[in-house]
Amino acid sequence: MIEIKHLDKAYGEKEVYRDFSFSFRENTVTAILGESGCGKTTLLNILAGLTPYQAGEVPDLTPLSFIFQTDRLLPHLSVRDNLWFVTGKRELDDDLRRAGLYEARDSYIKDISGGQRRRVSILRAFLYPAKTILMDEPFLNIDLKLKRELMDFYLSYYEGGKRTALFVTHDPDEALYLSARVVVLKAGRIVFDAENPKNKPLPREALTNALING
Amino acid sequence: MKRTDGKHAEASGAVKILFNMLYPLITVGAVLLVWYLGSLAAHSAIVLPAPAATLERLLGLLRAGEFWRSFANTLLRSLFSFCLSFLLAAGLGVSSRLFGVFRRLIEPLIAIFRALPTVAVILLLVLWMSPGGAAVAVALLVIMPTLYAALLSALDNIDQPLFDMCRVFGVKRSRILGRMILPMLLPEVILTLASGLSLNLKLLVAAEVLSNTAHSLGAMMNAAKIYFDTAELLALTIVSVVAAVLMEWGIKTAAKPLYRWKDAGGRV
Amino acid sequence: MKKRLLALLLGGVLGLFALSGCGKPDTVYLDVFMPDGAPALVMAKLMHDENQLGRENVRYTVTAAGSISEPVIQREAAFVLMPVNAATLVAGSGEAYKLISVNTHGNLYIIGRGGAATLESLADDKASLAVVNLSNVPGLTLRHILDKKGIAYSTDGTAVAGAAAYIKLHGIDAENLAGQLEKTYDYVLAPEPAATTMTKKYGDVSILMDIQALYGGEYPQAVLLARSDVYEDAALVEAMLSALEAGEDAAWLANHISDAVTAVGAHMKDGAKSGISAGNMSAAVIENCNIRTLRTADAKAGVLAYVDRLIAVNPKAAAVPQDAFFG
Repeated sequence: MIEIKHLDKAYGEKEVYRDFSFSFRENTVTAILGESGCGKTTLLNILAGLTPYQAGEVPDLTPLSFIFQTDRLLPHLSVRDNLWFVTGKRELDDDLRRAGLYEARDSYIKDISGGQRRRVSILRAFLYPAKTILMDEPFLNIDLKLKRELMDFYLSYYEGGKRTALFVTHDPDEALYLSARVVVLKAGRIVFDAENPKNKPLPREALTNALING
Repeated sequence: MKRTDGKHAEASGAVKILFNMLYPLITVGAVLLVWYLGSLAAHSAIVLPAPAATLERLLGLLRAGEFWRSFANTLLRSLFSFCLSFLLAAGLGVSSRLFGVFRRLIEPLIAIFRALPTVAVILLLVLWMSPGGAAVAVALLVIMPTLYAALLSALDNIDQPLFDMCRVFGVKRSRILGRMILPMLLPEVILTLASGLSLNLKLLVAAEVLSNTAHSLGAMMNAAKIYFDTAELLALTIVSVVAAVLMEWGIKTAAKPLYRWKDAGGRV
Repeated sequence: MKKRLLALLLGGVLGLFALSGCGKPDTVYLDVFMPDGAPALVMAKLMHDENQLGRENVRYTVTAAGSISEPVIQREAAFVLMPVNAATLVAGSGEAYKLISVNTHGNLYIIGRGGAATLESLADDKASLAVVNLSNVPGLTLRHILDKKGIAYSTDGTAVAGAAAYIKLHGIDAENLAGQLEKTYDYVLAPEPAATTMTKKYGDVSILMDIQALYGGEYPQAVLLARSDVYEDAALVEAMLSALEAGEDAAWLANHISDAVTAVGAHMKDGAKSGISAGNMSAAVIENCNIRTLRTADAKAGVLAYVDRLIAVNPKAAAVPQDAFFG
């Protein structure tokens, strides 16, 4: 179990987390579901060491992989070099093929589609040797069809290795499709927490209910 | 329905190039015409010599050893002062980017430098330094703030999120500097380099004229002025302009592959 | 709407054109120009008397030495006193201006520290010699002398490679003469009255060499030109020349130093300050300025010979004047 204990985080006057505790299991995908502004990005950033916090025990998860909300790819490098920049590896042909990026391997970021960029972002996070992956709304603003493709792509990679993944989203369907446990966050507090096993998935209404009323 | 056989395509390519050359040619032609008419009206070779006389001078200059010596001196001095300005601007720019306090401290200083009246500065520097030194110092004082501003804005434009990404993935500092910061700065740097060099040359020549630096383009211009040789003065001016334009164009063209990755918006 | 705007604009432009035509014309002056320094003394009495040369609209103006050519190039000057080499460059064709007299004949001296010296001794010491106005008459005359004597020199203050003895010449402005003497140079070639002023200012500085003597006598330094249309008026030209010949009576200048100084100061362009002051004038200085009116007929040969020598030193510094140049 990876545990966060008694976290206090405020941006100036605005309090985001107060005595917040949360734990998630290793080698599972845990989804944190919540509306925008409820602090989920902040939580990930704190775990990644990008945002400071006032008090609490936050585990050191390095080496850590991250799929950001925005691509954060280097515009002056090709797809292949972007992957190299983070992993140091150049022999990536197989992985590129698996990601459907082989033809685009030498293209600049500006010359590939939005969906391809997402794939690069995801591939980068998976190629980076880390046990834990944090994902901040990785499929935000992607249309449905592409989203399905990307989620399958993500799963194909995830299932290949044993990793811990913490995945933040505002879309209940994404949470249900990808995770083994769903947690609903509202105003800095957990209002819903349930397992989502493959053989007995959670009902969607339960999630939307929690989001609205919880 | 357009024909798309190879011949047609070939013709449009050549025609395009021709048209591209046409506009500057027309402008130059117009300038020459106005110049010629002006020289007729002025009726004095001292006030405005004819284009033909000036061209003759220009060719004479290109054949003179002393000219090339002075020209080389001026160019070298220009490059030297520019490099100094650049290094200083880069150092200050990076420091400002990294340390907010530093940035706020030197902002007013940079503003003062920018506001200095160039000619007054030249005259003061000539009193305090050797003519050659004064020329270099002026270029430094005037160009450095411009370079600083351009470099700083380029540095600012590298998003913080990219730095966060590097931090999360534990990318080594040397790689961040060498493979991210520097290459991303390159287009801005090159554009600044190109226009800065040409501006620097202009300033340097002006400083050379005012300080009468020995064996320089400025000194030759001074001599031409003293002896009322307006044709020579114009010829030297043309040399100066052509040199500046070629430098700017040369750098931009040579460095084009280095900013291929920018959007269409980044086009020079 | 657009049409109205256009009509208004056109009307305005035409109106401006019409107005420009009916501006009140200024009084037409007969402008006499001369550079500050010894040449201004040439016309001191004329300025003191506001001599109208038989006309009513003569105006005298003393300009800064460096700007004397402007009124000539612009053809503003009816009469102008200027250095001979510049005169040949801007008016040598004789088309716009004609030479009517030579009025100063050499006022250059080498001043310095350290007791008696000759050009040869300076060369042996590889001394530095600052020259006020190196590019024009002072520098050119000196270089002619050095060339004649076979003394090597440089013009940018650097050493002469391969020469055992040489003088390092360095051009300086008249304005910072005192400063240069104070800090940098022990020897300076300067015109009067600056030369004597410096000897008075610095006890250890004295006049060491007479350039005129070294040259071998006088040379035509400042010349008087008359604009072509003015030249046509023979009576006017004669009035000017006679007035000058009368005013240069050494007695007048020597006995009316303060009047001369005041007159020059009062006619400075835009109220600038003249280099001539009561403090630096004396009978001896005036004598050293070598002022004397020499009409063209007598001066022509001397001018041509001198100009040739200047051209030998620097072909760009002067031009051989056409016959038409000599009035």
